[in-house]
Amino acid sequence: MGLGVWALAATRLPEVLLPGPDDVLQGVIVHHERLAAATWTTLQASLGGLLIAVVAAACGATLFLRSHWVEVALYPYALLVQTVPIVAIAPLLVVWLGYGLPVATVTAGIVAFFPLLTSANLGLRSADPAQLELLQLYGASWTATLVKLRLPAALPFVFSGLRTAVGLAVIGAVVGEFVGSTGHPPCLGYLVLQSARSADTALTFATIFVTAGLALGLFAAVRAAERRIIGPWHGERG
Amino acid sequence: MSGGEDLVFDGVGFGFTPAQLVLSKLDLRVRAGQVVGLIGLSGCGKSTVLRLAAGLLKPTLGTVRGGGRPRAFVFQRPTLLPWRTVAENVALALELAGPEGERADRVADALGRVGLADAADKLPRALSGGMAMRVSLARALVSRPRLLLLDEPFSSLDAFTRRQLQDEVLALQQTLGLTTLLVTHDVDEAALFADEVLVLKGQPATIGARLPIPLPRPRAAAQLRDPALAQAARTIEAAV
Repeated sequence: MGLGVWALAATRLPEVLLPGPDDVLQGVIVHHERLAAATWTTLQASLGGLLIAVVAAACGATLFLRSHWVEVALYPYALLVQTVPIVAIAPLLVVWLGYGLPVATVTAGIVAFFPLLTSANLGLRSADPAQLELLQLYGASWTATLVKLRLPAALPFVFSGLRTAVGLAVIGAVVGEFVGSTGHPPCLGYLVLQSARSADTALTFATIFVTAGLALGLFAAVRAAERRIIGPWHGERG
Repeated sequence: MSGGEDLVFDGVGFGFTPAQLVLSKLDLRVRAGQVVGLIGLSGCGKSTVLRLAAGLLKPTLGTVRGGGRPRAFVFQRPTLLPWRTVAENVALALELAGPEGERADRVADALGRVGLADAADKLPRALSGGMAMRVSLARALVSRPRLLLLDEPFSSLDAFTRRQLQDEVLALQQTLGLTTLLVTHDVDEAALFADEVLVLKGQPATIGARLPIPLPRPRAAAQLRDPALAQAARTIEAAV
């Protein structure tokens, strides 16, 4: 029904404002090699940024668990990373890192970081108090308790954070590409801007849909990993 | 396996500060191989006494000594790690402090003692409440404890499963001669298990009554209908 409404609306408006579904599909077919190459670059930036965010969040959450004073000292900075608009930071990153993939990777990591930190922080503290007492009874060290209890118990929370973070990583990568890409290598953010400036609205739409598809694909991958890793012991019984 | 050494509480007090004690002047002795039941109203501090015995808490005043090591604790809920199989849950104590070479044999032995040899590869979510408590019991036994601490382990079970497990724990305690401190709010259960029942009461709580239960051993859950046991239970109830 949505496609029908869109097609009808497209007949009422100039193509430069709203291309129809068939024009967008045509754009995907005609430009499929450019779109594929651009998707690959944005995927690399998104995954690279996500990896940075995961490592930083894991280290941060572990440090916060270990020391309340570290948490009090560093949490405001983590909050600052979340609240400063990424579009304001991106030009500064270009100054520091130059044009290219690193900017998009860093912006992807910045945007994905906070939800991962929050979920990891909650997850590491979610262990059942009775289970903590059990390990204390066995004389488990802080590290052994972290590895054998807190980390596995945190997994449902971490996956919940990851489901949010993957979409944000793609958004962060595209924003970074808006500011920090020259078009070489081709990337989705630059392609959106370039096609919009040249009034090739069908390609703009096509690029947006491909970007959404990328985010959805990553989301699906996280869900599949979640079902595989924690599905047997967590959540609704099948 | 024998119980080992006596568990002794000597003038124990516990609280957030010495001026705000929840337990006071606690003197008790659980002799090696003996079962002592601890009973009292909800919130009086029974579980705190158990945690002091386990070394999970340090007394504010006085000392807790003896009882031997290792110590095993059976919680009110099974407290199984949901991502580990039954065998892996039972093996947890040995992973942290036990001989690696004997691990598989001891896990199999412990599961065999509680009748769960065939459930080793199951995850906790596939277990009934009774089975999960059996796994909890196997986990307690696998370390070959000197001291067994039971915190109302049957309270969350239905009556039939409770009787079954009571029989199994009685048989294990009697066979292995485990020094045991049992916390319960069930006077019948206290009379069934214990050689002596201590009644915890007051604020701050202390031992209000010490009731020997000179019923012969071995005991079994079927004796709950026995007039002598029923009389012992009534005596305990009157003292609470």
